[in-house]
Amino acid sequence: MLNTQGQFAEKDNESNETFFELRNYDPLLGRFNTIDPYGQYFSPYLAMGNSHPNMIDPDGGFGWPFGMGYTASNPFLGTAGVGGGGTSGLQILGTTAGILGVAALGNAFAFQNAVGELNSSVKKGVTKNKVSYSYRGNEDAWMLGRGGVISYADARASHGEKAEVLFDFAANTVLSVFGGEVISFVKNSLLTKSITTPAANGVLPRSGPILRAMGAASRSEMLARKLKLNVNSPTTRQVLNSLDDTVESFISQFRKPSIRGELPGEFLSRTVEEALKSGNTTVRKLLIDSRFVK
Amino acid sequence: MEKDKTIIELIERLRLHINFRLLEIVDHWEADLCAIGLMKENRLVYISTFNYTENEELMFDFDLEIVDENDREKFNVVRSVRNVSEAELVNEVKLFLDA
Repeated sequence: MLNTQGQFAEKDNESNETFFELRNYDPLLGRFNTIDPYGQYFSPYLAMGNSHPNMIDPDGGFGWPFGMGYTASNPFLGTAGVGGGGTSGLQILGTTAGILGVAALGNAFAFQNAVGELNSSVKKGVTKNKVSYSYRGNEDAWMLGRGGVISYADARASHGEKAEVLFDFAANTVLSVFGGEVISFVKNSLLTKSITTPAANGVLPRSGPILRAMGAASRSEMLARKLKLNVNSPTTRQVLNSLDDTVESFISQFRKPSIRGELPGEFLSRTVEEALKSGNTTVRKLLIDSRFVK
Repeated sequence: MEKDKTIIELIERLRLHINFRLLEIVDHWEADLCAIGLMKENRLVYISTFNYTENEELMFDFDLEIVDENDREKFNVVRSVRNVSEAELVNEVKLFLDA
């Protein structure tokens, strides 16, 4: 295992397995031996999202992009998340260095890490814990604590809602809001607003689990890895489940007509797989662009 | 936000050169680990590292778009640039976004 992953586990030299807090990992297969307790990925045995150099999974329960969320020296401080719960106003309050305070105003929940102070406007769902926050396939969101799921429904944001995130954390803080329109991260005490389009978060046709027929899953997974596509994205799954379609057929079914004016014509007769493998940045950009998703 | 480390590290470096308080990080490409958008008002920069992630020196592809303020799916790509250095990218982004 790479990077800092090894520091969270103990290795059995006889079986060559690596023991994490929640699961055992087989470094030869690059897979966990038991199912994911939180169902992060489409395959319950997948480790670090199949992106081992870029991800860490400190307890075998949840993989995080390396450098986002967990840090090697302090895996929890600097990891925080808030899900909007029905209003458009969302404020996250940071405090001084070493203390992380998070508050969701007028929203469904809030939490704090260590001794951070919460704003008195917080309505419910306050928890003092070492918590992190993530999402399931862009659909559901939940908070995870060391002991398991703290809150599930409370962390869910409604589709089509727009929340602005204000933050002023200390250093190296990661903030993520999933399920609604906002996904953002912040580093070094800067103010950022980040928006994803609602189409990307909705239910897309042919965006279910990647085909499981013999050979097909591995082909799609390998291609997703090779093409550096986010397999947790419904748009990715839609594309991966349409690899043998021609671009013409694919965009007719799943993209808005306006994409035709932008796509290089010579790719229309190629398959989606061929188009993506071509390395043409314009084609890749347009086929994945959520602004064109029907 | 799930992104390749080339994008995450690029954003961190861009913060040294560009005032992010004036920008939005716009992720119309959440399916693409190697792409991100930066937007200010009706100007959007699409940045991709996909073709260069294995390179010794990371290069970039980018598009400069003028977006219809009333309909974000309507946009005009005013410039497409491929295979440029980070210094060139930063200059173009600063000029285009005036940030």
